[in-house]
Amino acid sequence: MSAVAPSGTSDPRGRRPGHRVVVIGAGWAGAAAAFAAREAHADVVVIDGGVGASSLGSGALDDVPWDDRERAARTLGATLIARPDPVSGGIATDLAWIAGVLGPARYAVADVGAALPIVATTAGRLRTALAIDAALLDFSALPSGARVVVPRVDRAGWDADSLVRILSVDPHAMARSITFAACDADVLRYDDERRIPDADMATRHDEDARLGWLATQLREVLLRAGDGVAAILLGPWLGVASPRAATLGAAIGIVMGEAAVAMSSTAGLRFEGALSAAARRTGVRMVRDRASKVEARGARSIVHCKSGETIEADGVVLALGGLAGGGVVFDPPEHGAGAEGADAIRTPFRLSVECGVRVEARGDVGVGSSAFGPAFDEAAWPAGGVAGSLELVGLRTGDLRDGALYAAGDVVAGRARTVGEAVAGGRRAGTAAASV
Amino acid sequence: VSLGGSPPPTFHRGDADVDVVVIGGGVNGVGVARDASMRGFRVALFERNDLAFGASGNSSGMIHGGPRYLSADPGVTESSCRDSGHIQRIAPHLLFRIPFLYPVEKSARSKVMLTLIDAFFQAYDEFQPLKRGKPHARLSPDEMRALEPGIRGDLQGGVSFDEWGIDGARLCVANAVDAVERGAKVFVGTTVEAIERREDNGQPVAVRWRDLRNGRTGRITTSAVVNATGAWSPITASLSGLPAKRARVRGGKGIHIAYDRRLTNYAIAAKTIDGREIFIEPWQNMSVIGTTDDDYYGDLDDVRATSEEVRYLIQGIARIFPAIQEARPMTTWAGVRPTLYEYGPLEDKLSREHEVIDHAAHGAPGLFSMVGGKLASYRLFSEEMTDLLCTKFGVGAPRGTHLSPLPGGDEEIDPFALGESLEIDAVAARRLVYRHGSRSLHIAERIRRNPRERHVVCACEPVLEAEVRHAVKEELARSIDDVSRRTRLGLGACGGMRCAVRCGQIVAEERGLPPRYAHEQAVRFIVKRAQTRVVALSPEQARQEALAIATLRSELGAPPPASLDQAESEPR
Repeated sequence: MSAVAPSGTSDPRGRRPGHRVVVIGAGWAGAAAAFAAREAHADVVVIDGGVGASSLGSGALDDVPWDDRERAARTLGATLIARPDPVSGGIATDLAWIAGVLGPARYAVADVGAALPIVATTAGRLRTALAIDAALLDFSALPSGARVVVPRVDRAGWDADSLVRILSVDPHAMARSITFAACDADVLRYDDERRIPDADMATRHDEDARLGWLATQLREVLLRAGDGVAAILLGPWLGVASPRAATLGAAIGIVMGEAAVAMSSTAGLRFEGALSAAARRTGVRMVRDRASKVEARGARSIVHCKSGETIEADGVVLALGGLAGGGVVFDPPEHGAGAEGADAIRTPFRLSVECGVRVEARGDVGVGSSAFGPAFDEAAWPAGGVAGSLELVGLRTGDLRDGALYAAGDVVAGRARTVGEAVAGGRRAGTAAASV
Repeated sequence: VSLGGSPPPTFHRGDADVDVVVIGGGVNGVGVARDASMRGFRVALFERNDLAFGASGNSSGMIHGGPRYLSADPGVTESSCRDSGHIQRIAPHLLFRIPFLYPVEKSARSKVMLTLIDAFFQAYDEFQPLKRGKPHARLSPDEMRALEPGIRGDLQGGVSFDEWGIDGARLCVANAVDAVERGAKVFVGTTVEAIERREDNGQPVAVRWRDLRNGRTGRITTSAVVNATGAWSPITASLSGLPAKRARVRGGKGIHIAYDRRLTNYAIAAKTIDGREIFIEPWQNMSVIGTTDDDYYGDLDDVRATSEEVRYLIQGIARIFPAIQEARPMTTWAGVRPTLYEYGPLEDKLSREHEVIDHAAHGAPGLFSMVGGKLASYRLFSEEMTDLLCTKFGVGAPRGTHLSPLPGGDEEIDPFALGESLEIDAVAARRLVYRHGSRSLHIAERIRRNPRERHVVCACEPVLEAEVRHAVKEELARSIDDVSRRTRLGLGACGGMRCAVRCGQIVAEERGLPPRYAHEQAVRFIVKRAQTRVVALSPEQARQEALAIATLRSELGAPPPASLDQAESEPR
């Protein structure tokens, strides 16, 4: 089991000088692997191939799928607090560690025993998380009976009245007697802001002057909304370089925050920014390239990149992401096969980096006994509480070259993974790769 | 008609809740509802699922002139072309030209074949003016490849010919809306549970119905019932106590695969491995491959394309247009044709003719079943049915559905001017005008009253908020799925991830349902749409699927283990 090493073991004694760890992938798993290896004094290179699942993530970080957690809590009548997880060995600790590395005031992690943060999604649900991007509005920190104002903003996908209606009847809101009110607001400064993407809106608020202007506008919202407003909920527009919710909140004297959105999220961009900054600070080298092949050369590995560059490594961590992140590629035999059909019947999935490791999931996506590739009629999507095959596909860590290749995050086959698991796995893999 | 001394049936307008109950919201059902309403009947229509839920909304989207009947029965071709022309007159906004290429592969007999095909389409040209179609042209292999560079294979040559495309669901909605505006009552999501008949002469007196979403039940009295339920016909007939075989059909499943964007300018005919004729057609803003024809024995409320059927069609198209294997399928759909029953022939050889069954012959005067037919002949079929009702009721009202425009078909609208005046994207305006014709002005009026409603809900199609509200208020939509059928919302690359929740919120608001309903509906819709995509999975779409699953998990939570059917129910 090459990817699994005891958490926190970073004994550098076996390390040669200049011991190099190459991490392929710059999502949560890759970041954790890189910083863990760096903490174990390795020379670390991260190959960043661009947007993956982490850049699209909502900024709400879980140890287990949140809806499973909440369903279980409802069934057991239990309170949702952060607790040491006996299975994963303390994902909360790992998340707190990486939040510390990524820099202060970027992520808020629940202390063990404390209530879990609660965020609103733009889809109109309140959900718990183990840790959150600091720009998101944390409803668990609001006093019982708090009144939250949602400004009306003339942008597609942000209907304050709708959001207010739906959030008002959310179980978390009702349990805390939190009420919502939509309020007219003039927070778009230029005409194009009715149409530009969320991320572009957020970028404009990186600028101090613009943030000051927004504070002025929101003060008027507060005047209009009357007394007793505890917080303002906004769309994902509060900064890309760093989360600006706290600065804005301090300027107005009220709690401010974003609603979470997955797919093209601003929180994902903030993660990328935090990662680059932390890499510079800690001396982790980030390379914007795509790895194409990992080759064994004696005890070491050669990582080939699309640009033609090659990097020698003592340990390589595959943190490529799963199908969503682009680490696993669906390439069925009939794709582009021509009029006569496919010549070779092969596994329909492969890793985006050639490294001699097979990809598999459940039986229904292998070569099996069909000359026409897998059929996804039933099994692709999660159903009945069971994860779908498209989430499960990946490599088996048992197939990895001992002492040289490690894997973490969604690229590992098995089950639907959370950011917490990716960080915990990445930390273990990075530590192990650094101490060969 | 008097049977064995029982009293004769009586058809009097005015002594029951309605004169005619039509069962089925497919194109024939809404066609009869419209025609009968125009001729002064009081009509109630019950649809178990949604308008255009079955074959009508899952067809190839063409109203062709029936060239296949040309050699055996040119009269059918003539009436098909004539009726295609009528539809074009009453709903010009819904029609678009689909020019076809018919390639002939080289073989021992291909020279003769091409000459025969050329002569055949020359004969078809005679009828083209009836539907404002263009004459065919004989083409050399080089000319074929110049028109469609993606065509491969060793060709003898080919011909081009001309057909009309149409959105079948929009056609149904237009007919239903017109019927409603002429006084008909149309109930969607409402199933008929029993057709009550008089004990003495067997004539229908009432139907009992149940709203499937909220459980409400009721009874409505009538003196005639029209069974226009397509593939469901035998089931509907048996609700009256008649044997199911009295309205027997031979259900033939047909599937289609839709691709992102138009891959060709011409539709191209191709042959499957077993020699059947299939095609790839540019259809609205996408390309569509169709179709299969297989006897169907499954659940009519849940007909889905399978990956086996998808591969069979792609194999056939790839032979002449190999680039299809690298294109990105977006969705699939499936329907069951209500073909006239016959035991023995292969599916493709079955007649596409239609027939009204007068169940007086089975001891149920006043009960009629419409079986067979095709999209292109719906108006004619509905007219024949309504003629028969007129005879029975002794009414002499004139026919008019070929002259009177359908809603939106009365006036031409300039989409670009509309787009500018509303400050909406030109593409969105064009799509809006295509779907609604002059009724897009009603949607524009909504936007003028509330400018917020000009925002795009579904960016793929694109669909505006005002249009979603219009679909619920004016077009009988009750769910995201219904809105999708009317607007094609949520059928694009993102799989409804960006629009389903928003659409659900709007539906819930317009219908006064609790907001929680929006989430249940959205999850249900997203998973259902995914099931139609994954049977035709491409590399890009596989990644998109995985992202969609992750997004769903993050924003709404994974589909719960409880049966999704529970999400269907809504509060009273």
